[in-house]
Amino acid sequence: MLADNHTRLALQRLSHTVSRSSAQAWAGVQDQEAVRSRVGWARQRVLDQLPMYLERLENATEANGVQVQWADSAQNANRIIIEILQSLDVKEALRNHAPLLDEIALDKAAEANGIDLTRLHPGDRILELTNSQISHPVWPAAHLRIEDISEAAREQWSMPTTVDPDILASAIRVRLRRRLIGSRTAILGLNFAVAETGSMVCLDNDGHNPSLIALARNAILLLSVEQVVADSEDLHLLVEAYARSAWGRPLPAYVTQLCSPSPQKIDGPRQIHLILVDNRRSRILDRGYGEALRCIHCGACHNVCPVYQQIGSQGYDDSPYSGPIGAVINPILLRPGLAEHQPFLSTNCLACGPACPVDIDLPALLQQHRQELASKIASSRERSAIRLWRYLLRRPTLFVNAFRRAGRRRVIMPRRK
Amino acid sequence: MSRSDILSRLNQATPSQAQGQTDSQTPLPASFTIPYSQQPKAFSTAWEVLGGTWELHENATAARLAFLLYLREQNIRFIIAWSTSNLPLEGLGEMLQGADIQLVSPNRRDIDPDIVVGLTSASAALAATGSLVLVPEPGQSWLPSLLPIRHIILLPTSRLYPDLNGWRQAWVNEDKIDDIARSLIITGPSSSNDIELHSHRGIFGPRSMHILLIQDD
Amino acid sequence: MTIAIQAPCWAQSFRPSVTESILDLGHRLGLDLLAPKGQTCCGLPAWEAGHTDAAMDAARQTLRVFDGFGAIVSPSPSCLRMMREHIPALLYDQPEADGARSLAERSVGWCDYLVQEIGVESLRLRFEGNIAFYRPCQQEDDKSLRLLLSNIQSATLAPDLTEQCCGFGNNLAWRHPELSKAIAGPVVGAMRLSRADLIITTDVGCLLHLEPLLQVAGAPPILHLAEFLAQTLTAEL
Repeated sequence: MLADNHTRLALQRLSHTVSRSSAQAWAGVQDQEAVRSRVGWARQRVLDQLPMYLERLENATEANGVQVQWADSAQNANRIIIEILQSLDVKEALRNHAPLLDEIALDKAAEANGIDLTRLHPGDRILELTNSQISHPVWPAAHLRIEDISEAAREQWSMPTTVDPDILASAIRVRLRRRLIGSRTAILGLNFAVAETGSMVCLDNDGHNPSLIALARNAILLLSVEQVVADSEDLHLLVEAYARSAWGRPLPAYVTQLCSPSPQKIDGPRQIHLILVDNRRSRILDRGYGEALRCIHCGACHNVCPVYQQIGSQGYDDSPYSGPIGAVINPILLRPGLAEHQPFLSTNCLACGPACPVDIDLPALLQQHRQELASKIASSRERSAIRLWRYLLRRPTLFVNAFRRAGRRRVIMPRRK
Repeated sequence: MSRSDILSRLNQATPSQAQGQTDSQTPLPASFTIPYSQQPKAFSTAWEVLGGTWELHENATAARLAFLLYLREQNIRFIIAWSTSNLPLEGLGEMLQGADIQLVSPNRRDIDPDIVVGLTSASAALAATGSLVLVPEPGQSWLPSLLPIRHIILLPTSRLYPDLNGWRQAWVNEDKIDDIARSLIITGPSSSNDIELHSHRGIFGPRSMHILLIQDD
Repeated sequence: MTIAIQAPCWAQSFRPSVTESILDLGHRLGLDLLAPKGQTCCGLPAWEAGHTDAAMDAARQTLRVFDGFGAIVSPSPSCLRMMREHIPALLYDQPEADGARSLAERSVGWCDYLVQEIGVESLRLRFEGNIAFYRPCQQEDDKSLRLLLSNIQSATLAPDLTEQCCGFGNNLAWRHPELSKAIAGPVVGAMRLSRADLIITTDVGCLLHLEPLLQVAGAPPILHLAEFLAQTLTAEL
């Protein structure tokens, strides 16, 4: 269950560093509570009228010349993407860093259809290089040791071994730029899209998103349906909140916004496809967990979660969503029965709720899951224990003795002196 | 058909009493706005925090001379740039030609990897965060601010705004909502922390930024 | 007016000295304190595990036990939260709803109560050395706690130890003991590095979870605040 020692240490270090700089960034905001509440409202007001905002977005983007399609599952999203690529007679594409693209397993679909897909985010590229899994929504390669990265670079790129991160980064830069300049087709997961203007938005610090968009001839953009934003004012508040919580910065280094296909003489794609993806979001709404759809994937909850820091992202049943938010949406997002143990991987320490910039009451949602699932997934051992416990509630002497016995047998308090 | 399926499922799942409930919201308390006269100073401070270097010049003539000196000092011979008509220094083209410094138009097929300097202006800049706003137009490509390892910016101080909020409100008043919606907002050099959290600049965009602020009001 | 002491289930079974210390202190300070009979558990572990019916049973037992007392003091912030927040929520649509609300209103943290009734200055406490406080994740208001800690003569109050949860989590410790122990790792590490002579905490669960790990790690001893006060005051007299 526990991640390996190095990963645990790396995640603890990451969490400590980022949560501190994030706290500093938020501390600089006048009336932080009011801002967080306003940001939460910006998300909730859209969720409360999601069909209306999606239609508004569709109208605005179509009026801008964007071709819009809807995908009601991960499978259909991939099908649409492959169809578009085939119609363009394209055999290669570049992709950005986006949890949605991992959720639909785009890489597998591309491979299955003979499409050469390169991840352009430097962290993602390192994951590819070392054949590793994403470890954090915002810092995907944080758990990797430089020795391992160097070894992979030596094997695949014939680079001499090094422990200088700048040398490795430069090598990555050279290769990514080569791919970037040689490519024409970009597939991007969006952070947000603005219903009022049809603006489609990506955030990053390294610059891969604006580079992708500026140089692409064809762009396929995916938006998870709940990530629509009402207007520019809400967008800017969300971008600031994201930057503070994800990176501890007042703004991301790059806020890339795209509205319409570019005519000649202006950079940007000549053809833009937008795919609105609903992969079980309606089910999440239906089951009473709609508040979780406010999530902007900033990772703040991960950075304060003691459980996540010990089990890592691999503790969440291969979902791209880990940490407290993962434990809330995975039981509904993944196939039935698979992730129902996740809400029980918790100490109920309550750290995640206040950390969330869009005011999701994560502890309450986790508790709601536990209440709904307890009788369903409790082992027979647990059931007997509860029955016994209820019997002993009115019998204090027996109760205390039973607990002491359980302690001696190490069923509870396993390391009692 | 996916579209109607999705919309009907979402309609069913959204509790009807929720609709309209979140419509009203107390506006945020007005935050401190940097007064116009202090914006150049605030901008340059934020810019420095991001790791950029800057100069402030009283007028275009001084800026032009200083710019030429800078290019000579740094031994820069080739620059990927916005078209000179979009750059806020008159006579820049002739001056550079005279100094044998070549301005190259960004055309991705011809991008010479050895050209390390990109030159742009910006449509707006945000004082509080040291940010630049770039709206794509003919002759105002994003590429010179993204591809070369060094980014030089020529910015008239009249294009400064206090912050993100102030800029947006001002452009909304000027009926430039479309420009707001398609702009690239740059705050700082390209940075990544993917190798053991080590901070690396310029993995995918410029490593260094230098700005010449030109007082024009 | 007799004040009831809530005796957390973990304390009753594994750390009776916490309740004994509170009674002892109460006696010495002239407070009318009593630990009512019939207490078993406030219900938090069942509630947190999602077993709502079982939690409601415990909630009802808790109401019965504390019926008639003007106030209930709890030495454990997790039990306190259960009594003030979750029990009223559990029973809000039950016949016991009013009783549950009353319980919530009458429940107070033991340290808050002490500082309110006695005042910090009247507690003459002395400890030679470094004290570090570990704040349980369930601790809500800690004003009186800090007041009390800063009032200990000759003690140097070290900066707060890590804010991170100790990993006990009531249920996690028996569901996933390895994980629960692993979470304690950085906390124990911080305690070892703190060079404190004594660590004080207020939650019985944290205390029982951390103590054996601290011993193995060669870290400072840990006490519940009530135990510390009882020992220190005793020494004074």
